[in-house]
Amino acid sequence: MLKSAFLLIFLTPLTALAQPTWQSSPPPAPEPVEVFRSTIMANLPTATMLYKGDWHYEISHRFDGSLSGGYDSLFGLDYRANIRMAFGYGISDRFMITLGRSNEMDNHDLQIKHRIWNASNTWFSNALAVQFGLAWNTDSDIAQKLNQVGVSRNRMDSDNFQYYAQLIYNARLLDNRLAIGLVPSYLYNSLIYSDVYNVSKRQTFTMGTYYQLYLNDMWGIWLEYSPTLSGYQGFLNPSNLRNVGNQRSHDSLSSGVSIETGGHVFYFFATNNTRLNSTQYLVGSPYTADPSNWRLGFAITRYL
Amino acid sequence: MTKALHIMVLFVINTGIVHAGEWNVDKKHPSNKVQFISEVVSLKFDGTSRNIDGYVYWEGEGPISKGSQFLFVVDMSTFDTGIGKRDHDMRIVLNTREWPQANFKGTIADIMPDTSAANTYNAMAQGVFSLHGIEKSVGIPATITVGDSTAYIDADFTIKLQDYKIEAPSLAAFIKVSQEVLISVQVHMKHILQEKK
Repeated sequence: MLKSAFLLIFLTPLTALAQPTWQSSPPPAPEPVEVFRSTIMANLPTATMLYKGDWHYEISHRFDGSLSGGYDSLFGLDYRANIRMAFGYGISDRFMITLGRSNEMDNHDLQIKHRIWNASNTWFSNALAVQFGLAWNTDSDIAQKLNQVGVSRNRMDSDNFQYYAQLIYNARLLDNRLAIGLVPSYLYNSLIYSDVYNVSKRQTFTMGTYYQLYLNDMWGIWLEYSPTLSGYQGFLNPSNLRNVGNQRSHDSLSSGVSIETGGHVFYFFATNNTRLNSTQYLVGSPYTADPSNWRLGFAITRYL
Repeated sequence: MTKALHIMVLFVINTGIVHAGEWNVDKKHPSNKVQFISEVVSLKFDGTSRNIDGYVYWEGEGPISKGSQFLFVVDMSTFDTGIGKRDHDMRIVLNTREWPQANFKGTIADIMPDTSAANTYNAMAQGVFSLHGIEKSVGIPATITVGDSTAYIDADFTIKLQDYKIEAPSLAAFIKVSQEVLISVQVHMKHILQEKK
């Protein structure tokens, strides 16, 4: 008995006390999964944000010739293209700004996007963001057209400015393979020529939607459909303001593939809408979604 | 009664005979750094984390000796490469949601004073390096500089991504990041008093 007690006493400090006092601290909480891998789809914004201090570049083309032209017009690539370029900057992980320009009406736009929340678990991720934008149409062609109908306007005239707001809801489901987006959008001053026709400022409500199926880490297939729910869906920039006939815009439909690699996201697709900047895209497409009207387009985004 | 008294006396005497020493990472030290350097064709990029923690522990008079135990832990989600998107992508590649930390746990297998510098030792740290859920036995050479109540540890080593089942990310579609990644660790430790009395 005494022998056992002696052994116990001698071993106690070597076992119980031979321990480092260091204690581990818990690792940082994991960040939620991003529903989409880029801040934009081909045309509509996603709830994905730039990280603080990140720069982002976007270039997009929509070719004017239709795919139905076949090889003679290289499936439309022989034609001119509408081009958009934009730079984005992450003010914080939840705020970003983008400044872009399209050669269609020399439309410049400034966008501010804020992610309200995002959350994820193993089977479902979702995020909500809001985007506000201002567009300024500066093309000298606008003033010339106005002069032809006796309207004088300088570039800074308020009629050249448009405003829009978009609520962006994104979700990923089906084991994170399917991502969807709903982007109810409001556009103010949809028709910048309202003074010519002596009508009040036009407004447009469009429901942007998109669906992307991730095939693997690199490839995805997607579809965007943006019906105008109410408001103005007329012409955008007719060549003759006094003779617009029955020109109108149509719901936008686009579909193609996405490729993500090394900080780039590429979208290659066919679309009926050749308009690029949000205030133009949200009015609708100049063409119906009939297959004969489909055109090629691409968008490339890159983190700088 | 007398026997019980003897036992108590022995117990009191005995508790004073274990000497141990411990350094813990000085987490507030601004120069702590774990850096990886990776190559893609002719381009190099690196990422840095200051979020390292751990200890070196030994029994005996110290300051450090062969057989000392150590554990170092790095939060993998804290690496900063200068581009937030790249950091985010890296967290996905490393699956930091499932394996948030890398750690290296083992013992000092060998330690020799550095004859060219005072209070400096060249050591071989032998242990298990755990990354991306994969554990591998490794030996990492380190230089240890001991101060009054501080120590500075400097180590450089290379890992192969495939050894840890990490898929090398691509720069463009078919240009992969090099399999070999250089890891550089500089960490400042502070002495923790181990008064076993």
